[in-house]
Amino acid sequence: MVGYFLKRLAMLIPVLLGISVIVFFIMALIPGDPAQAILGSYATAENLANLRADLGLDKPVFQRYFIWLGNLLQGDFGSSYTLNRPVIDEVLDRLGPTLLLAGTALVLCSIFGLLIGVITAVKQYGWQDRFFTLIALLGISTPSFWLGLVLILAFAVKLNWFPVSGMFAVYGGGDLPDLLYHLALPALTLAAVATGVIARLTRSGMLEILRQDFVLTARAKGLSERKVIWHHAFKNALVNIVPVIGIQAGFVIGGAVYIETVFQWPGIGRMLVTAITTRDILLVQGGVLVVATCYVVFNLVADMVQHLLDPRISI
Amino acid sequence: MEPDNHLVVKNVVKHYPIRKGLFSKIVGNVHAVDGVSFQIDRGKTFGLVGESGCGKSTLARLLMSLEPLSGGQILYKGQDISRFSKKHIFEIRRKMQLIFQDPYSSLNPRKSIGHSIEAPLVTHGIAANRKERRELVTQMMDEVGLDVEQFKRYPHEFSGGQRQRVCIARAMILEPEFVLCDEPVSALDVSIQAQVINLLCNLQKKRNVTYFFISHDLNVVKHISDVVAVMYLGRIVELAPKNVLYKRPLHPYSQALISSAPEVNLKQKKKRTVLTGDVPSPIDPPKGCHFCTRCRYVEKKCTNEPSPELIEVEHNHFVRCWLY
Amino acid sequence: MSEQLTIETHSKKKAGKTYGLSSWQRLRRNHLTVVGLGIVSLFCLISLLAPLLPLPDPDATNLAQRLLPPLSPGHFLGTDQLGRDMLSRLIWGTRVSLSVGIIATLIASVVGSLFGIIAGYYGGRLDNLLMRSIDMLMAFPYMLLALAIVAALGPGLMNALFAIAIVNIPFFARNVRGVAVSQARSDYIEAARLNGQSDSNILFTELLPNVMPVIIITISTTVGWMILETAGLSFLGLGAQPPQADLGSMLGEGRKMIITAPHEATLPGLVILILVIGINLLGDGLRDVLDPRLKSGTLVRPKARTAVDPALEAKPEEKQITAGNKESVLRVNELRTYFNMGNEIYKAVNNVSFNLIPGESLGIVGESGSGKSVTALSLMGLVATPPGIIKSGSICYNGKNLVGASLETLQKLRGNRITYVFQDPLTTLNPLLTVGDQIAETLKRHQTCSGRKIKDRMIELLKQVQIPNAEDRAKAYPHELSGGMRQRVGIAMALANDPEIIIADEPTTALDVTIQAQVLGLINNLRKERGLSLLFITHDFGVVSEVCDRVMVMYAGKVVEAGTAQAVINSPLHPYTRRLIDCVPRLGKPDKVIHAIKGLAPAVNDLPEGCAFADRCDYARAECQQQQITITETEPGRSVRCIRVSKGEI
Repeated sequence: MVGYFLKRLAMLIPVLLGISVIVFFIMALIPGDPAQAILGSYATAENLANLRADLGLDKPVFQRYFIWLGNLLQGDFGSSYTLNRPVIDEVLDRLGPTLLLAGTALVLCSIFGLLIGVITAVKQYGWQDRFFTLIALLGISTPSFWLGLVLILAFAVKLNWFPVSGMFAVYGGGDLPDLLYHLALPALTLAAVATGVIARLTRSGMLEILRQDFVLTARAKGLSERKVIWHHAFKNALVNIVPVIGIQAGFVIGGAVYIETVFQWPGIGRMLVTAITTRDILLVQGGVLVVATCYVVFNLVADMVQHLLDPRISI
Repeated sequence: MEPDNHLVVKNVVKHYPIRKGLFSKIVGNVHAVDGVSFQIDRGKTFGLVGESGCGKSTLARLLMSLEPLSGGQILYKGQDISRFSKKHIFEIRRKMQLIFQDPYSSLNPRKSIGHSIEAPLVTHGIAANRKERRELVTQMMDEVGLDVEQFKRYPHEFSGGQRQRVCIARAMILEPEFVLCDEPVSALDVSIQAQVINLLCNLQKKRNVTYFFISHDLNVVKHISDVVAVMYLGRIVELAPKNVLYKRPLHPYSQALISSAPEVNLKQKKKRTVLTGDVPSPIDPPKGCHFCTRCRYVEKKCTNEPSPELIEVEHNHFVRCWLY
Repeated sequence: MSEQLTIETHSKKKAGKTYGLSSWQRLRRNHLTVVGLGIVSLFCLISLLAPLLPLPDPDATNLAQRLLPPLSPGHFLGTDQLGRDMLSRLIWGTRVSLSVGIIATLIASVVGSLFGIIAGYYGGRLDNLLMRSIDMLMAFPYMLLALAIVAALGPGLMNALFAIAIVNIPFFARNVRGVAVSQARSDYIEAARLNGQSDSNILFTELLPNVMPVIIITISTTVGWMILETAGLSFLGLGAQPPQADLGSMLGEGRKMIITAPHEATLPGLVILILVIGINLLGDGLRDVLDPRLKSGTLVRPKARTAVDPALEAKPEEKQITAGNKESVLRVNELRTYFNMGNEIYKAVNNVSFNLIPGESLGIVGESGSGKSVTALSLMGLVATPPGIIKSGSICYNGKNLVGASLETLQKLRGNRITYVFQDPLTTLNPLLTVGDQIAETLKRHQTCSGRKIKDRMIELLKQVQIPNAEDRAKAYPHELSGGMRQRVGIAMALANDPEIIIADEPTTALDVTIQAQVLGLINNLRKERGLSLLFITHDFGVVSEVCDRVMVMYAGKVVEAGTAQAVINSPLHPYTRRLIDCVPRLGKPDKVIHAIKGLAPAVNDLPEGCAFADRCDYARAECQQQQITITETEPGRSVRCIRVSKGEI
């Protein structure tokens, strides 16, 4: 187990390097002179030259990559020109809210998704199946940014049950209940799509497992249906669903970009959108790198869980 | 003796490296085929029996040049085909064909059976035009007992036995001299097995093909072969004309194998030598004789000294055991 | 088990009725799919016809009429903050969104599938290189990569399209590679290679048609996302730029007016929702048609007990049957188990009766599709429902009829008094539980004793089936054991609760001969030691002569001959039995030409009148096919289903 963990951890290094390469070269895609693009057409020649030197644009591209990578490893992600503060500080400030939002959504969608999946599989063709299958279909078909707006309209504007936006109340907020109160709507919205995906996959996974020979064996042993379904079938289905949850984490983090915009949540997603519209490239770079790293680490965890569940997996 | 040899296999070895760890370091080898030698005469059937994992399918792939050898030589009519270039292999395949075990996966599900049978003619540029090709195909279909009307049908419309006939037609249409049959009837029901075996026998008589017939079923191998070899953990342990081998097996493994086969005979229950234990892993085969872990005649010599060679103990009867 | 599978293949083979339906017809049978198809076609039609429809200019502003609510005169769906007609804007916006989604899908599917198919076919280093770079793309959260690309290229609809296409490439590459790898290893590709076809020829004429279904399935799942995600980028202001509008950017603009004019944001969202639902419904339907697993109806949950014809679901008190034949532990009478598949009825078990005497070993012999396994599974209600259903008959155990018995009754017997050993021990053991746990589970279910005792008993059982180092092996997972060892575990599980009857369904078919000899010996010894009754299902007369006292031969769902094993093997009566024994080459006998049985067994959904074997029988006469043939006793304990034998003619 420990050996597996260390190996998996070591395999992270090439992945992270790959991510850095992709991010770097995507940014190198910027057409024309990046300095010009960043500073706009009214920049003075002096400013342009300074920025170019700052960005190391006078050096060949591979050298630039290694310089950039070296700086990254020292925690130097450059400095945001719109905010006038180091990128790393801004990103780390924003990371917490995003992880909180995405994490909550991920927990919600895993619980609901698995539960709905098992129920629909076990009650195949019953009313529960039809009802939840429809819900799951709606889940995967809904644009989450629209769902957020509709929920705000219904529960915040009309019913006044939840706040319209933000993470804390402006006056007198800041404690845990206040946070949860603000978290409820965005987390639910964000979880909706992933719930649909996980529920559908769990359902078909369960149906497939229930057809397998070892389930027949379990029944031939006279085990109760509860035991057959949870102890034998669900456990086996879970092995295949855990990596799906890992992938869903990516969708949830990506979806957070919309949800943070809709709910004015002070996370990385909203920061990225603003940074893109203001062409604050270094901020985008830093944000993407950090979030991608979190995602990779999360997938490592999903792998570990799968390894724990399934004795057959080895590398 | 030499000129009659259709295929001569000399000390063929195939190892698959096992890679582990971050840098895919080679930590060991699977000794799939570990020094196999034999020869086959033209127009005869060479049967190879062995249990799963003994390396018989790997040997088949090596003979068909589907994989490179780790060592040894395969001489086809005196030419070493294991050193052949791609172009030469392409040409030699006209003469050497393969019939697979699983008639379900060996036909392209999205190609009509007529087209599957016709494909070799197209790639090898045999027959001048489409019409001639079709004629050859219909002749072939007729010969293997398929209805010519079924040319345009797809594999899923056929039963296992019929599909195997399609595969046989596809292999035979180039008029090969050597056909390797890799468990061609194992996937079929007994009543269908018999049909396919009879078909193979008839084709051999008509066309004077050489068969290399692999099976785990002793009954089938005995029925169809002239010479039978018994394989265990990558090595041939005994090789003899079939009647000799089945009547008087010499190697302890062959003895156990033949006596293990269930027989339809209630009048006299035969005495059986039941082997204990399982086949060792080919990754780490026992030193010395590969069979020493399960052999009841095992001696010190068997485990300590390198395995004996395959020696001729009587005319055409080869055994690999210290007992002889 | 294997039997049920064969029936499914049989049904496919019979390209007659249900499976003869074209994909199109099957697609149409699913109502939801039709709804999806309707929605998608409607959207496509409207988008195509947008320039021809009598719509106001979507970009014509009219500040006097801004933010009109829906159903206003002249503006059916109202107007936006610049007074532009919503309906017209929605239709033009849909046109943009739909085409962007489709183009992005096309790009992603072509590039991704090409990566996948090449990686899968060539394997090795190239595969590694391609897939590792694809993995790098997958290492980013989906949307984030799109954002990064848009950030680099700058906001705009084409750039958004590009970004979305790129981030979807990995899905195609991975799905296609997965299938391509397994297909590339299959024998027909090998055959093409052997036949000398060039790589590109194999790739595009052999492999591509076979991975096409996966490509279509992936398209059907991703096109919905792509539309959602491009709309999302536009919503964030990174996609379509004014004055051009797609549904996403309309939503984004409307968001600012969400409180004063909710229709401006909700309507475009609703349109996206309906469009994507339509696409997903259609996609689900396509998947049902194209996915081979779904096609054969395998994604239906089998019930815990085989369904029983309503007429047989008798009241509890009537189930006490008085067939108190002391001689038998199990008496089966006129059992019929059918499979209802579509419009076809497969009569897998068609009027089977037999008696199992205490301590005896009864063999059921037959080829695949003969109904032998279904008979065995019917006894404890383990035939998968759907499609299986017990149509008639009784199964009498201890004076109680088990046909129609409640699930609880059956569960108390299963694994306890009547136990099973199945064919392939690799698939019949749960891969995630240790073998010890799986044995202990049976014990816990049926015995009330302490955990300590259960563990001791479990170890003892493993020792009884001659597993060396029982204590250690108990902690092993099934994949860590050899086939022979796994089957021993299966036998230990069957023995756990000292059953009266063991039903062994081809327990040695998956094993090598030397291992088979070990396991058969073990079964024989244990049975004799404990005096249990054994019902042994096999296709091999050799195995029958090893373990069975009596034997029944089945053909096309019916018993054609029964008697002591010795009598049936040494002097078979039924022409089928004779030929079946004859067509296997024998070790002990001199070689001769084997007489194969011509033709095929009939499909059990299309049985001929009269004798099912008549078509293949050398002795058949016209009368054989004109009447129901009954099974008749030729001498005590010996019976045969053949009129010519009964009459003493052959």
